[in-house]
Amino acid sequence: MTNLEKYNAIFMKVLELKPESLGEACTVCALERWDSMAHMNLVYALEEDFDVMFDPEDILKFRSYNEGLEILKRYGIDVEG
Amino acid sequence: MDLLVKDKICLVTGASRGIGKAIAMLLAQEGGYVYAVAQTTEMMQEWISQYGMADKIVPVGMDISEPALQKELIMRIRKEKGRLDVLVNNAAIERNERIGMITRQSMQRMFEVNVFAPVELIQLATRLMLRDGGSIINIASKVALRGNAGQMVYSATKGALVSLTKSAAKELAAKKIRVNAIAPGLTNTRMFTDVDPELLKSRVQNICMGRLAEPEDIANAALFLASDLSGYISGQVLGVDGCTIL
Repeated sequence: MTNLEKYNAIFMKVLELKPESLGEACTVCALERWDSMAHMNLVYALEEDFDVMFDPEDILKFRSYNEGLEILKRYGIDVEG
Repeated sequence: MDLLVKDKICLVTGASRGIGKAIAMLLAQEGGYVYAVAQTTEMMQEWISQYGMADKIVPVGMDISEPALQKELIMRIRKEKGRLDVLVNNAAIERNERIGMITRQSMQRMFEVNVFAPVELIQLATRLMLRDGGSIINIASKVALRGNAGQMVYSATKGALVSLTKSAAKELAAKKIRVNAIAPGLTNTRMFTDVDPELLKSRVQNICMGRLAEPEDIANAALFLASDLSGYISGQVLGVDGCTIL
């Protein structure tokens, strides 16, 4: 599985999304299911699958699919390849 | 009887001596694998070697209040063991200061070690407890609830630790992570070696059991809270004080 596939799989599983819903529109504001519990579940899943640990500031900044990609890049994980 | 924390991965802070050392040793004796943390490792290495526990206890030297080092430690545990089952927040600074002699710097440091560090470690440790659950034990103090002259700031930090224990317990229960505190009474540690014998005697007179707690008394309580015997207990503050009157 590529990093992007892993990343997408996490979003689809935690937020119960279809593949076509992933992308720019996938944000905290746009998705009712993306509440604080789902947020932490997303963080935990990303941490485990990518072997990173989010700083508290990044947990707060992580508000969209795209921001997640940027955060992982800062931890040395190139998701988009 | 089976070992009470067999194969559990444990993290104990403030483990050089006293209560932290007793807790680390007992968890290891009861089957746990213990990461024992203190500012420096010299004292820990000495007693680990003395008791032949090098295969069960890993000494880690670090400033527990440094976020980057906390993260490094938790990531190390994740890499080496894959999970954490028990976190004991024991490291603390106790400074006795009369009102009027308390500096901002002293307050800041006590809160950094006694409150901020436990909060930050709980945030990190829960990541490693999500799959299998876990037990978090915060070592508070009797003064958290009763106060004590000359310990306004110290008691405030321990009061904060009690409150955060109860809140964290409610938030983490659904994830099978229990959070409890122990409130030791007067405990026979290094700080009592220089105390005036008459003052000590008067303090002991307030203890119905007639003696100071030993670190092992506190460790026994921590073992209970770490083990599955306390599986339905969370959000509690367990007084271990020999039935102290005042």
